[in-house]
Amino acid sequence: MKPSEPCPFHPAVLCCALTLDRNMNSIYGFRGEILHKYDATVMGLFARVFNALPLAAVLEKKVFIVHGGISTEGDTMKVSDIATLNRFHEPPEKGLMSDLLWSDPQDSNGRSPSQRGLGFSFGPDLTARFLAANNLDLMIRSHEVKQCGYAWQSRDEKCLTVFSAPNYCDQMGNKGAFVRFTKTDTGGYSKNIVPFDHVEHPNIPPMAYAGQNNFMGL
Amino acid sequence: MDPKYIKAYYRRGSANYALGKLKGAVRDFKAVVTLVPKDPDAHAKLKICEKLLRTEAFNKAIESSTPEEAVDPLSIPLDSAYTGPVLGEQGEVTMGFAQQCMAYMQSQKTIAKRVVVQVLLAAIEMLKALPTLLELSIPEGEGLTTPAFTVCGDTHGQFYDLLNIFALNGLPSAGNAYLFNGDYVDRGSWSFETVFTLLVIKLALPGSLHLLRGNHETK
Repeated sequence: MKPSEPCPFHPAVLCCALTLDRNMNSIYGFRGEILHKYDATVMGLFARVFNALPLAAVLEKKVFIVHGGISTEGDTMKVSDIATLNRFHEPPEKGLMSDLLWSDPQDSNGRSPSQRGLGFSFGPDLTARFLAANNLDLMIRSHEVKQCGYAWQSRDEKCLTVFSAPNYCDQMGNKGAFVRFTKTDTGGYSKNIVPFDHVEHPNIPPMAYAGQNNFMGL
Repeated sequence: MDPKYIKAYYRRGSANYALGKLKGAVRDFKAVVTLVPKDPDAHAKLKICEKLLRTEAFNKAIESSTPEEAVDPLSIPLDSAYTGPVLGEQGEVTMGFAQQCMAYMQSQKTIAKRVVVQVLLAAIEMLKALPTLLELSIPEGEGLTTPAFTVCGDTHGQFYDLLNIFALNGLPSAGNAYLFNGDYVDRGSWSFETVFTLLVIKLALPGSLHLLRGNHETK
């Protein structure tokens, strides 16, 4: 598939796509895994590691990278707003930090409440406005499984989702992908989107430490 | 809502569960069990929600008794039978150490708690010093290989797929930089191995591996 063609989006199964809860590590397995392999002290240290992680990046002054997406409340978000944010805490339920981690692109213009119950979805018009206001070319984000491992928000190719967990939850059959940037002779950059298949793993299923077995029947 | 409308309680219970509102879910499934005491599915789902509620309460209790106290890794005993990677006296993390860790974990062995704590403490200090917004560049050339900067998305505990990314695209190095865009943990059952690998490499090559927070990097 040519990288410039939008990848068909296959609506993902609920349990593996739309995350509807804020107590992530408690419900989705990490806490259970750490308590099984180590103990609460180690889990406490991971919580401190997570609170220290940066929230966004700009590559070569032109490519904005963030896990979820942009914040769309009020005036157009400035990248400099992120630089001055106090990040050293659990993500709040709303506001800039929450939107950076939770929001999703949507097909239609404008802004709408997220199906996740947190954050908002933002249209291609808002993507374009954000990039222009911040002198950027491209946004890369993740947060959503895509059947080809990647997908463009729209044909203007300004917002790219890249997802690197192939055959997500051992169920989805999706490819993973990564994006490789190199410099050009003229001082710019070029990118190459590389899809890849899953590999085998030892016989422990996903969510093995989550303390529940496929509750929703999915 | 009609107090005898069983389907409504069941569906609301399921919705409450999905939203993490465990108390509401327990209340709704209790109502179903009261109205149809012989329904095994309702009993099963009630049991799951009650168990999760107890786990949540237990975890909260643990947290409140272990605030951000100082942890001294050298006070953690190291099993004399342990054959896995250890850090030297200076605690310096190298790519050699990182590769030892990856190989050890790939064969499903457990890195010693003392080593894990040493790495996590060092990672906290390193990450705390970073800006909230990273400003990054594609590396400069070194030797004959074209330098590159690779952006990866969610990895979600899929450690064996992470190792495959490095097999396909090369290990991180000065000329082969990476950014991982969050969601290292949850769902996949090697979340520890996945996030630990990335933290170790971050310590070994701080300028060549960059980590952002995802929505799953939270309690």
